[in-house]
Amino acid sequence: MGNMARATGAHEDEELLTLLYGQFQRMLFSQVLCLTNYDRQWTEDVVQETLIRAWQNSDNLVREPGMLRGWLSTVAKRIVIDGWRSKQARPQEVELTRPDIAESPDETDQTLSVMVITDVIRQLSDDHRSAIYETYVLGRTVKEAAVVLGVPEGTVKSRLYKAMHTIRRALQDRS
Amino acid sequence: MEIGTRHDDVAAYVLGVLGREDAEGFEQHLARCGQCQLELDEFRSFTPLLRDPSARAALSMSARQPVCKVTRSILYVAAGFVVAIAAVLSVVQSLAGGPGEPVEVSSVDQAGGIGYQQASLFEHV
Ligand SMILES: [Zn+2]
Repeated sequence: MGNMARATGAHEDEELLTLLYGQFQRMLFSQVLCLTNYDRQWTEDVVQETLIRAWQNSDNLVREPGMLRGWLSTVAKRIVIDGWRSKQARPQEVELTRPDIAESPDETDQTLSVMVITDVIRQLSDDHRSAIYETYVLGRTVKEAAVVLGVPEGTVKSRLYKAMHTIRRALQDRS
Repeated sequence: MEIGTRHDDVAAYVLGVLGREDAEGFEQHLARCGQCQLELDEFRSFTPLLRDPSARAALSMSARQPVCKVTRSILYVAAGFVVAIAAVLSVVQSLAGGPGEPVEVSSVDQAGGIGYQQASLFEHV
């Protein structure tokens, strides 16, 4: 973990703490609650872990509130997904709907977008398509998918990146 | 820290498929990389669409073959069951009387039992 010398002074540290626990803790709690099936204990754990992660990254974090809020809710969702994954691994747990780091899109133009994206997916190369399938669709991590596909992890990552890039460009071109 | 390779992680991160350690490493990078923050927003605007059944079907086009073979053999066995049970049911029904008469619950139970035996015979053939 990067234990670089703190560029920030004690005053700024205090400011960040006030911002995190004063302004963002409650916002995170209500956001995360929807993702955890209203499990308050789990939600509390996720929020605490998120704030700790923020504190550990305080050297890098941009303090602009909008940016900070975005980073915090992104990280919180990721922590829920990790928790979701380990709960799925334990069979006795109740099945949950897996959250996305992404937001749900507007219902209105969703049908059209689905048609476009399905079309784009068909045009992806087999390698790119199977990278998404073996990870996102089947719920595997990059590491697990790399074993299944018989390629290095870095290859899976860059295939995913290129695939997402292609999809984004195609969606932009058609809208 | 290799910033160059970290940029690629944004896709796996948005899809939620980076392992915990990788994800934490990427978050550290994300905190100060404007390019990744921008791409994160762009990618996540369409990621939920990938969960749509038709998108999932399109994604599975290149799925590996062995899975299909297993599914097919399961289907064959299931078809065998259906044929066996249907045959037994028609016998039971003709024993029970005319086609208009309802089949009693007990005879259906019996039929199920016989159907099972028939099916296991079926498998040995
Ligand atoms: Zn980056």
